[in-house]
Amino acid sequence: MSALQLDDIQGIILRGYGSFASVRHFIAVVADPGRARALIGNLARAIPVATNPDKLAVTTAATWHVKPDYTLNVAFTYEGLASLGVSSTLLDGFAPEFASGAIGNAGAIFDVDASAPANWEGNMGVASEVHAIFSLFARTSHELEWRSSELLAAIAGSFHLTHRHDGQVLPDGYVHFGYRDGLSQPFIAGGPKPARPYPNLGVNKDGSSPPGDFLLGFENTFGNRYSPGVADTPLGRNGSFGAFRILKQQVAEFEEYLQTAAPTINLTPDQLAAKLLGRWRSGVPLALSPTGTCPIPSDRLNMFLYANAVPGQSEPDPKGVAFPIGAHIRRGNPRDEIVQGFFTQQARIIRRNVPYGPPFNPQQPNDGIERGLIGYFINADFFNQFQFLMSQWMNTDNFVGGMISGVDPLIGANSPSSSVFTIPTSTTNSVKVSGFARFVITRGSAYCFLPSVTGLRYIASPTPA
Amino acid sequence: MSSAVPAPVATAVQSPLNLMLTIQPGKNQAILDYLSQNQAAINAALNKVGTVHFARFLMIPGTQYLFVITTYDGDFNAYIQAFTNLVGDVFNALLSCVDPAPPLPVQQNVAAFEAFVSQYNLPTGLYSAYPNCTVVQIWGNGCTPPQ
Repeated sequence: MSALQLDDIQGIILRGYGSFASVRHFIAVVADPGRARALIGNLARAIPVATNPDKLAVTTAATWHVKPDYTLNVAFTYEGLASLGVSSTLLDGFAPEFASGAIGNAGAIFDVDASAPANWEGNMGVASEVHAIFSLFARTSHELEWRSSELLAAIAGSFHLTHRHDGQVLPDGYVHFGYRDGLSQPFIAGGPKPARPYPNLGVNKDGSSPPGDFLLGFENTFGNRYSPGVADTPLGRNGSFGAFRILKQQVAEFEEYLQTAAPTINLTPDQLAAKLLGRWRSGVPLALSPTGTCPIPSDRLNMFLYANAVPGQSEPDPKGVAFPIGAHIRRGNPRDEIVQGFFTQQARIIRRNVPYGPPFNPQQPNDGIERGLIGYFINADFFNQFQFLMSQWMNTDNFVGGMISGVDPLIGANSPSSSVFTIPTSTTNSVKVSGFARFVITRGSAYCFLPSVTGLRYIASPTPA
Repeated sequence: MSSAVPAPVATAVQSPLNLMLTIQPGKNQAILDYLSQNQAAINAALNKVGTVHFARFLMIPGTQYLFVITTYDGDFNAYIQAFTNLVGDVFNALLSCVDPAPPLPVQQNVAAFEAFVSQYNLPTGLYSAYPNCTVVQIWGNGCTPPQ
């Protein structure tokens, strides 16, 4: 595998930006196509090693020798690329879900009822109101304000701002539901090394994903290429898709449910929380520490299987006795389980979300302040990855053989009248909890393309394809 | 397709596929030979797919018609990438002997294959003795797949 062209790929695809605590996403529409193209050209200047350029520039995935104080990335919707003058021939080369977008595919991923586009914030439910998303990550809130001013001055006259939304990293990578998050991320063959080793699941020995699962122009897990009509053009190659999501977390309702339901099955609220997710709130997976008492080194937190056991894992758990088959992270990545369609690693997504809203205070649970997660779910194909995950694994109960019921307890489209979560036990009798509501509500969404630097330059100065 | 054919019916999780292919003149025996010689490999590939309950290839005697008849789980399109990856070469062999045929290989022309199957799938009803069970659920409850 040859190395990836890191200085051509947008940094947010390959790097977690974990030390950048303050985040701001600007959502904009094209005001003046000519000026917008010029701006994009300016932002796409070659910055092989992004440190602190004098002027704003898009951050690539090139290796940092000195960590910059901020990062900037930019993505476009189908309507955005069309408004910037990208030809319909090229646009038709993208997989069709990009054109139909987050609004057209809302039903397929259960963005319905309170999560439906009609209820999204900032006019995000209107496709013509979302052309581009500029994402700033900064190490301090002061730096974020400074770079925000700079960005707003730069885009004035080119783009018209329609919405903005901040995020703020919580200490130690926790999210508002009280779990440590982001411990399992795919990593790409030829790209930056992962923070934590991941088992060999038959794709690549080192646990990496084929580049084509996350970048256009490369072979994917299935042995072919996504969006073949555009993958080998300057616009497409080295680009990726991101489902931008604003996800409201019903934190008070979640905590109240844990307190109410756990005693009915003789668990503590923290034990029930672990069963629902598949990890203790500390991030330790149930596969490695069923009782939560085993200390697990941080670099081991992603090294486990379900149907089998890796060295160091005491035993496999095919029936989900320790780690329920319906738990959120077992659904989200079934690893070595037999599933419909045989493959499990083709539907992985890179999560680039950070919390928004202040830390939850259990003493004031109903403070009326919205909390959630904001950012991208990155993949090379919405239909086969993000949407597949949401429709087939998060919102059904028959894709895997073991004892499972209902839909995903944390992010599934649940309602109190039908929700159920099965916790297998060492006897033939499982226990169930039910009556919980939907804990994550979609507040905004946009299907975006994250072009390479070459792609940004193509958009700035298109030449015949 | 006759209007007398009932509308396609699926159970909660299972669907019928009745793919009608028209064999090129003189290719009937080649298809029969291919199926006969590759049955074990076809079975192994279908075994991996994990969505197919039953499958058979039925050549109607005295005609140019070959039917691919299966009962499968879930959304056909959602699993098309896995299906073409695992069973694509079987279809490449069969489709090279039929007319009309989609562009080949199917692995590199997934959308066209999807459209072709949709166009030539004759709708029928479906009876199932276990309408709410998927293949992987049946496997997971003690009825293990052949090794």
